[in-house]
Amino acid sequence: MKPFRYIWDLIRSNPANSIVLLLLITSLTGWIVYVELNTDGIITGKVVDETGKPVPEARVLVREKTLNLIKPPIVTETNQDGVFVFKDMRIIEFLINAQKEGYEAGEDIRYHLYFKGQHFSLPKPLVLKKVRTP
Amino acid sequence: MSKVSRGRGLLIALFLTPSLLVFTIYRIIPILWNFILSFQRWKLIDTPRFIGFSNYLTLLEDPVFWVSFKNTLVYFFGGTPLAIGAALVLSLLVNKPLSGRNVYRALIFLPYPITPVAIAIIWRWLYDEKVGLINFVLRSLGIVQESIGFLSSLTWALPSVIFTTIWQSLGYYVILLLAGLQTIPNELYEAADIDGASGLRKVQWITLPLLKPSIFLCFIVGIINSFTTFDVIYVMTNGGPGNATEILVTYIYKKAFTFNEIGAASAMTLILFTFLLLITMVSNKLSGGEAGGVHYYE
Amino acid sequence: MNRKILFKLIDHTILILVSILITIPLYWVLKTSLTGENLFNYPPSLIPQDPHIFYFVDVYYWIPFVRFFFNSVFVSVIVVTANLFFNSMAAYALRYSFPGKKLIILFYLSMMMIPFQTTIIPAFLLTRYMGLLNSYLGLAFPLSSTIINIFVFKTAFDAIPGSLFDAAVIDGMKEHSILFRIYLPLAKPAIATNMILTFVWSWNNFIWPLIIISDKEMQTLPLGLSTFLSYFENTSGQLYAFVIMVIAPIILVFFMNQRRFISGIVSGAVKG
Repeated sequence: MKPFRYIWDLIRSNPANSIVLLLLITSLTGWIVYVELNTDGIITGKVVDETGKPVPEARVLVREKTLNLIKPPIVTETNQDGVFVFKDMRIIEFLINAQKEGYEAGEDIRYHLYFKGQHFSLPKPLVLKKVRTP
Repeated sequence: MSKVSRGRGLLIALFLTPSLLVFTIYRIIPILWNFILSFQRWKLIDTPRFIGFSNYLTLLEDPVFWVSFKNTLVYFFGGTPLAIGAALVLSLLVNKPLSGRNVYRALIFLPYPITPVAIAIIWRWLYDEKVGLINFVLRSLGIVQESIGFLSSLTWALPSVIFTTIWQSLGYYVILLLAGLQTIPNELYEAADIDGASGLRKVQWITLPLLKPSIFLCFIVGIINSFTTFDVIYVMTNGGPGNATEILVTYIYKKAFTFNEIGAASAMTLILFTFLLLITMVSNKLSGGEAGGVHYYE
Repeated sequence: MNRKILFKLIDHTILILVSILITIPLYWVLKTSLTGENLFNYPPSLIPQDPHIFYFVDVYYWIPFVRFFFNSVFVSVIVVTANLFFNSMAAYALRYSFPGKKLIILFYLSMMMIPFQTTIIPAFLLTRYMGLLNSYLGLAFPLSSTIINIFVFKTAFDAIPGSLFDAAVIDGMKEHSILFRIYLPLAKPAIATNMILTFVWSWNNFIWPLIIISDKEMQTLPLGLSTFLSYFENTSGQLYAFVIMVIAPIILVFFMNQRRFISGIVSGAVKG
C-alpha cells in the first residue's frame, strides 16, 4: 500500500537488501540511459585492402539474421575514404560483407547487437583482397 | 464476545461473502459438477448425455489408467519417505548451533519457491544423454561407462522425475520439521544431558517421539503433493517414454484437454479425489488426529 | 573434545554437500545462459568463459517477452490485492461469534482437502460459461482467496487486544474503518506473508494458464517458457536465458523476504 515505506523497511531489516536494490536500480537506469544515448540506428565502418588503404566505391551488404531465416541484403557503397554508413537499421544480428570488382569476394562477418537500433561502428574494418592477375 | 446485532450480522455476511464465493465457484461447484460429468458422455462439441457407469467401466479396462494409478502410488511411496527422511536429517543438522547455519537454511529452502516449469527444464537438461551434467559426472567418476538416457529409458524415467521433485520439495519439509523442533522444550535435553545420554539416544528418545505430529504433517503434505504434481512431469516427459511417467493428473489433463473425453476424465478425477481423501483420513487416524491441525481452531 | 570437533566436521560436510547439490543446477543454468556452454561441447568448464548477454537479447526479441512479463505481473497484482482484501475481511468476520461460525470454519478447512488439480475440468467449463477464457480475471479468479492466508490473518487478529476494538466502537468508528485503520496496520507481518505467498503461487501457476489460455498474447511467463521449450528444444542458450528471466524475480523476492516467507509456510501448514 505504501511502496516506499515497504522498500525502506526492507533496507532497514537487512543491509544486504539495500545492496541488491541499489545494484538493481543502477543497472536498470544505466541500461536505459545507454539505450537512449545510442539508439540512432546507424551501422558504420570502413573497407580497406590488404595494405590498409581505404577502398572507395565498394558495395557493402548487410543481411539480417532472424530466428530461422536470413533476409535479403541491404546495400550501400563506401565513400572516398572507404567509409560506409547504414541508416535506420532496426536489427540485432547480421552478416556483413564487402564486394568490389577487381577484388576477391569478402567473407561474411557476423555481429550481434544489444538492442535494435543500436549505434554500431565495426570494431575492425572489412578487408578486401586484390585479385592476383598472373 | 459481544452478541450479534442485526447490523453486525449483515456485516459478517458481507465480509465473508467474497472468499466464500471464490471457494464455492472454484471448489464446491466443480466437485459436485465433476460427479455429474463422470456419468455423462461429452466431447465438448456435442450435448452431454447420461450413460450411467460406463465411463468407470471403460476406465477399469484401460491399461493406461492402471499404469498411471500405479505410477502415482510409486511416486508417493518412492519419493515422500525418502524426502522426509532426508529432511529429518537436515533439519536436525541446521537446528544445531553450527556456524553459518542460516546460510545452509537459506540454500536448502531456495528451490521451493522457484517456478516448477523452470526446474523441469533445468533438470531435463541435466539428465540429458549427450550434454547432461549428471552423465558427465558419472562418467568422469567411472561409475558408468555408457551415458544413460535418464528420461528416455523405461526404468530410469520415473526415478529421475521423482528425484527432481524431492530436490524441490526438500526445503518445504525442512521448514515444517524445523518448526516442530522449536516446540520441543530445551529442559528435556538438559535433563537427558544430566543423565549422560548420547546424541543419538536423545534423538531417539526425545526428538523423534515429540516430532511425530510434524512428521505426520509432512506425510499429509507429501500425499497431496504427489497426487497433484503436474508441472514437472508435463514439462520433463509429458508422461513418456510410453507411459512410464504417466500419473493420474497428467492422464486426466490429456484425456480432458487433448482428447476432449470430458466424461472419462471426470470419472478419473473423482477416483483420484476419493482416493486422496481416503488415504489422508487413514493417515490422520493413524497419527491420532495430530497431523491435520483441525482441532486447533475450535 | 576431539570427538566434538569430528562431529562438527561431519555435520558441515553433509550440509556443504547438500548445499552444492542444490546450488549446482542453478549455477549451471546461469552459466549456460551467459555462455552457451554445455549445450554441445564437452567437457564442461566450471567457470564461465567469454560471458555475453546475447541470449537474453534474443529472448527479448524472439518472443513478446515484455507482454508475457506484464501478463504475469498484472495477474499477480490482481491476485495479491484480492487476497489482501478478501482474506482479511473473512478473518475479521471470524473474530465475532455468530451462529454457524463453526460450520464456516469447517468449510474453510475442508477446502484445503480439495486440491485445485481435482477441479480443473468443471473449473474450465465454468470459466468458459463466464466468458473469462483468455482473460486476466479468469487467470486470477481461482487464486483470489486462499485458506492458509485467511488463517494467517486470523492468528494475527486474535493477538490484537479486544480493548482496542471496544475503544474504537465507543469512538463511533465504522466496522470497515476499524479493519482498515486499526487491525490491518497492526498486522503488518501477516500482510507481508500474504503478499509473498500469493505472489509466489500466482507467478508459478502453470496448469491453470495452460488450460484457459489459448491466445498467444495472454500467456504468462511459465506458459511462455513451456511453449518456448517446444519450439526450440533444449539445445539453445536462449531457453536457459529465458529460464533465468522467469526465476530471477522469484529468487529476488524470496531472498529479500526469506523470514516472512518461511514463517508464512509454517503458520499455514501447522495451524491450518
